[in-house]
Amino acid sequence: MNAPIIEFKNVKKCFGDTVIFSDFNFKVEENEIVSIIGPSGSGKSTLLRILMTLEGIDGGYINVAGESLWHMPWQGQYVPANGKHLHKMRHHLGMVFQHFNLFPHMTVKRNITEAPMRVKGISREEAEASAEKLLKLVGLSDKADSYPNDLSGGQKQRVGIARALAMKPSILLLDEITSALDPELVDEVLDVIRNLVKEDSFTMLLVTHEMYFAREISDRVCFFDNGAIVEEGAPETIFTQPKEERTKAFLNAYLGNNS
Amino acid sequence: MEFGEIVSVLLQGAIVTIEIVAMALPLAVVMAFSFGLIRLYAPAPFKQIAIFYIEFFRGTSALIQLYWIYFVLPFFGITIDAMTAAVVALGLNIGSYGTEVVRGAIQAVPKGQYEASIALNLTASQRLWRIIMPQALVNMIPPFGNLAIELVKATSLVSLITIGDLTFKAKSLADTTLQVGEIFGVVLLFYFVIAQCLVFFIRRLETHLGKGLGRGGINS
Repeated sequence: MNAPIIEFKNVKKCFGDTVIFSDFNFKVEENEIVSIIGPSGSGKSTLLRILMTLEGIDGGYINVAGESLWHMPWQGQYVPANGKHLHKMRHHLGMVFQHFNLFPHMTVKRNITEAPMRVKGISREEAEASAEKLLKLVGLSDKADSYPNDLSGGQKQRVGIARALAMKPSILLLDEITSALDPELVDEVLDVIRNLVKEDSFTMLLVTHEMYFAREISDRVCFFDNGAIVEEGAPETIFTQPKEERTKAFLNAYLGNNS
Repeated sequence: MEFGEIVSVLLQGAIVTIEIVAMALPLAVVMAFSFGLIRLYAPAPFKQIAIFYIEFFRGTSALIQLYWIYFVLPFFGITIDAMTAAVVALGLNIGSYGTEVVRGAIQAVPKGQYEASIALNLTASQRLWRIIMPQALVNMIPPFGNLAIELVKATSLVSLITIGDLTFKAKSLADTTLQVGEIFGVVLLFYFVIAQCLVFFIRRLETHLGKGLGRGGINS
């Protein structure tokens, strides 16, 4: 069996005096789709942000694709990573944000082509051809020349997905990608993800409050509380026969008592 | 003195005023950007220098700065002509305010923009120049417009170091002809017209740079 593509070992993370993770251990296998559910403030998003190098760690190690994410070898020891190492490691990762974070001063097409051209040095023609394909995939071919502010929330998020995919990450991080959307727009975004995993294999880590979606799409569901995984397992098991009281209480609150 | 003559003398002064603005404004913009970025991103000692520059030039009188550069520096062996002194003093003075405009506008770009550009693996300089700066520029334009107009009005100080600008010409005309009403009326109008020309260009620039940004505001 291959080594896990993501591995957290004894990770510690604090915000000032608030401890998010005290001794966190977690693994994701290649091409595994893992949903992270749990109450707000339990450290779900922080987990993704640490992987995307948006937040540092205060202890422990993280491996991504066989290499240390936040540390690098130097003179026989592991030292905190420098910018160059982080830049190299980010090639494995892509992220879609809750609030889209599209670049408002660029057209939809430029949003998607900018990073492949600047970071990967791909030619404009090639980047634009790939952007057209991605826009087709997310059903927004007619919006290539629009600006983000002229799009609906659901459309913005679909562009956000296309933009992340344009960098061809091997690991896709989805951070509550439908939480900022009106209920009627949620499905158009989730459908994109559904199609995506049907056509291609991805390692995907998603933080979500869409329980039905998590159940449907995941290989594994992790219930998070207070910076630790309280319970994890196959979606059917977690959603129908949760063992832990905290998981039961959380799912009851979310899905209603009859589930 | 005939009105036409008055206008033609004042016009010469206005041209000098415009020249000073035309040279001091670019200097102010360069100072504002370089020290604004140093203030934000440079290592600590450079930051301290930037803070000293900002606080010194904001915190002391522009007229005294002008006097220092023109009258006091020669005692230290640095002699500069009046026009250069005027441009340097006003450029540095307005630039010190501009520094804070640049810093504020960059910091006002939402955090999510920085995070998205990190997630897309853009380098630090690509993040700044391709993602943050284009958005920050739009936020800078209105306060920069204010500063440009401040600069136009501050140029009247240079009449005190023997430069024949609009104010200087007006005062000397007034002293000899005593036609104060006409003279200062025309002077007001000239300053107003110069400022309005700047306002026009600033508005154009704001519209151009703001494309796609869907900026807020209340339309009546």
